[in-house]
Amino acid sequence: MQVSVSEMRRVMLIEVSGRVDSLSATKLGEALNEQIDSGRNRLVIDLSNVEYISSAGLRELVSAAKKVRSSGGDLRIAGPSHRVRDVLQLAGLLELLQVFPTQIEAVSSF
Amino acid sequence: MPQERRLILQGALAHVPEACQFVRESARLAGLSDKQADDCELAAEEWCANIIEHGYGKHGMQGRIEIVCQTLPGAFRITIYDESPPFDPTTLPMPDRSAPLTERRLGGLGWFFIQELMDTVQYEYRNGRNTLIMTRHNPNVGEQPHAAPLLSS
Repeated sequence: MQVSVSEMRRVMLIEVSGRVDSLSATKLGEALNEQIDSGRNRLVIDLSNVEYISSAGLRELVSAAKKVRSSGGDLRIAGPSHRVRDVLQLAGLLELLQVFPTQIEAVSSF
Repeated sequence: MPQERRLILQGALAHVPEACQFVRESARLAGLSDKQADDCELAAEEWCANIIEHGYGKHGMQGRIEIVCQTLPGAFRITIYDESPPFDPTTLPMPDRSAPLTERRLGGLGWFFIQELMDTVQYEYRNGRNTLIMTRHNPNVGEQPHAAPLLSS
């Protein structure tokens, strides 16, 4: 799994690629916490290049979303594949997290 | 006699991708669709991660995980064995998927996923080992010309 972070229109864009499983999820959590701990609370997670995600990855997304919302920010998802979207749906997260087809749309939504 | 593939690995997170790949490959060889193989892979990861984190990890133990994939007439069966203390997942509470984000528990999704993704799930403590048997039905399974040969590794 790879994570890259950039800034777009004062929103932190976190692009993730590869597998987000119980082995790699901690690395995603660390990347998200690094942003949150720096006071950045507007996050877009681009999952368009994620081929697989398990509950370990979802835990990191939910944990980060709780933190940013508590400080008035938000965590929004961009570009999940059908497979990743199915897992978000199964967990009941599509009703809790805003999901956009592209990163541009997700960033512009703030 | 079912066609069978077997994988034995150390119960460590570093081996989870290998377990996933093995189950996915076995499911496809058995004749399951891509989507069904995806589901089997995710269910297997959830249970293996549970064994590693809560079975072995919580008790400061190290141990093995054995995965057996069987091609049966009309069904693909995954059996996962481990030697951590007895742990019956059927007693776990279901996550509240309607809870707002602030009240969402961070754990508990794995067992829920397993039950949702597989057609039947059965837990037993047998011969000193936790045993989880998960089955996915598909009428094409066991009738594919490319079905896996009898393998043991």
